[in-house]
Amino acid sequence: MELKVDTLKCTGCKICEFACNYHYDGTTSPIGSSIMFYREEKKNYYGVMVKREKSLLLARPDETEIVKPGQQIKGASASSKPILLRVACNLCEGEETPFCVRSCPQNVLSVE
Amino acid sequence: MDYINNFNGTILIVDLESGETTNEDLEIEMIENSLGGAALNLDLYQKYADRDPVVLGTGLFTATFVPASCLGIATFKSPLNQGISHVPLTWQTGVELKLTGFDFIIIVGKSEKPVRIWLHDGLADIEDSSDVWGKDTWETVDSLRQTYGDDLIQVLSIGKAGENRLDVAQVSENYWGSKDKTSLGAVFGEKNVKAIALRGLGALDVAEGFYDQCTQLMKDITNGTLKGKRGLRETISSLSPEGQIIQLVDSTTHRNNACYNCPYACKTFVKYRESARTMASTDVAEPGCLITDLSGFMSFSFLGRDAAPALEKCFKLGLEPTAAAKLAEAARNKDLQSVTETLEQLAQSGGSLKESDLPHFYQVSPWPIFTSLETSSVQAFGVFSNAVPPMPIVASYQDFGVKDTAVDRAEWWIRRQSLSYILGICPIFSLTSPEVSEEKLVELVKSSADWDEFDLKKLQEVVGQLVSQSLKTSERVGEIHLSLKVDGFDDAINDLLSRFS
Repeated sequence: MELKVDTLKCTGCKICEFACNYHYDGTTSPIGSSIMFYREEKKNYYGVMVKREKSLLLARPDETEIVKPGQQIKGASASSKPILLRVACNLCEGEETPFCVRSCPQNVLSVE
Repeated sequence: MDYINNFNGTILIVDLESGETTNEDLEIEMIENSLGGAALNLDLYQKYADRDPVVLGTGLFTATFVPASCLGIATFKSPLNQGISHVPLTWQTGVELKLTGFDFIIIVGKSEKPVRIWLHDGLADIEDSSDVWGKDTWETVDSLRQTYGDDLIQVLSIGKAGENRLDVAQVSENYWGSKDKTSLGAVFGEKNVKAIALRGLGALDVAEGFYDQCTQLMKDITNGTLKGKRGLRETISSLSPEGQIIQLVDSTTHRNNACYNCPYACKTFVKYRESARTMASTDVAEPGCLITDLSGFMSFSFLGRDAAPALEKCFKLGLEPTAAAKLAEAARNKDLQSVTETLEQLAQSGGSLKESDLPHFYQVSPWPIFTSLETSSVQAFGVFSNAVPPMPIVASYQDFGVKDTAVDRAEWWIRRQSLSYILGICPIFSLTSPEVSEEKLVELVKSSADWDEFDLKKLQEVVGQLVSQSLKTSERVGEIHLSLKVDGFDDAINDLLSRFS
């Protein structure tokens, strides 16, 4: 079972980050989430990254990429560094549905 | 009430004259009295009124799981008409502001040299800004993000028009303009503040059960009037079904964007320097523009396909697009090149709707699409932004249970805006979703704290007070253009004033 991202449905509201963090520490914050929003704002190029146990899911608008440890991430900027330090997604262990899936107003996220 | 969630508990005072910043506690009584948001902004404005303050504030719900809780609010005296003005800050500004660790920021006095205010991690720095003074808003955002090493920093900045302290200036949120129609941009210029940069990585406490309540409300909304609706196209067709403009939007739409936690993605990115179907990140550095200001975009519709590039030019120069478009049209500009020249000129030496005998409310641009007694009346009040459509969007007055008279409709709009500006909910979104009822909001306020005595009566009282106090605090000068005084206007205004007295 893994988190699936339908990037082109995403409207960039960022609530998934906050919902994920809420799972970990019960606060509203983007700081500790396993899912991170990224944006090249002038190009309107945006999506999310998900830290997994042994890889990184890069849900880009044009392609979805799975990056393994040691692999170079294309187009990474300073804002993408913190994802590598984050906790790996555990699909909100103990919950029927992950918080990010419950919170997304556009049904971008699902578990498959 | 002994404790309240959703706030940091800190007010920041930025003294531009001394160059010092100080913190004060956000007292529980302040929230009990006003609820926060624009209502507390106004209290803080009055407290520091002799130092010409700009107050940036957040609502009880800003940056929470409440749907569309993106809102920050700027309160100041508008140089256009000397009236108190509340400007809604959408996109990520309000959220980023609150998560810097400051709930309210009071900027007083004037700096001798150009500065920027950099807020992050509970810290506030006033920094020299000679490196970006003279740059346009896009260059300023790029430069600050590079300086601080983070692409997700949110920036409020001014361009040439603000630096020149002109009435047509607008403050810009990142690259995309804002809902500032009352010249906050000129006030930034007057204070020598080029920009406010924000990065919020703080955390807010959440009351037990609050998340589930918010998620259920979001579900009700997305299954209600908003179901399947998104984008500029939807808003335009809901307000004024002009086929040509809709076709233009359709043919250039890249993706629709939402502000923080909003189910209605009302901002549309249009591409005109590469195909709108291009989803990859290409070498085209500036492929288009995010249309955040429907009023400005529609006002440039006389340019057809070039409406969006003209809007982009306004954003870069920090010009209020509706006034700029009306002035360019009145100057008989018919193409992008001549409009661009006029915009450059406006940002250099200014322009006035009043002096050009164009429609205005106390020199402020009116909503450009449709005029009726109710829409004219609400804008004549002048307390809230004319960038927000003065009527329901997607939904109808009936959906909101509003009686069928112009004054009832106007009163509903003013109250709905007041409610949104106080609680920190997007004032555009709140015109779309009757599911977000006052009763639901009372439940959410009660859940945010141990505040059992809070009720609908208190909510409605605070909502009315913001309007009446904002009007009382204003000595608005100027007049309303005759073309906007539709039949029954004076009686409607008197009736409305009596409802908020």
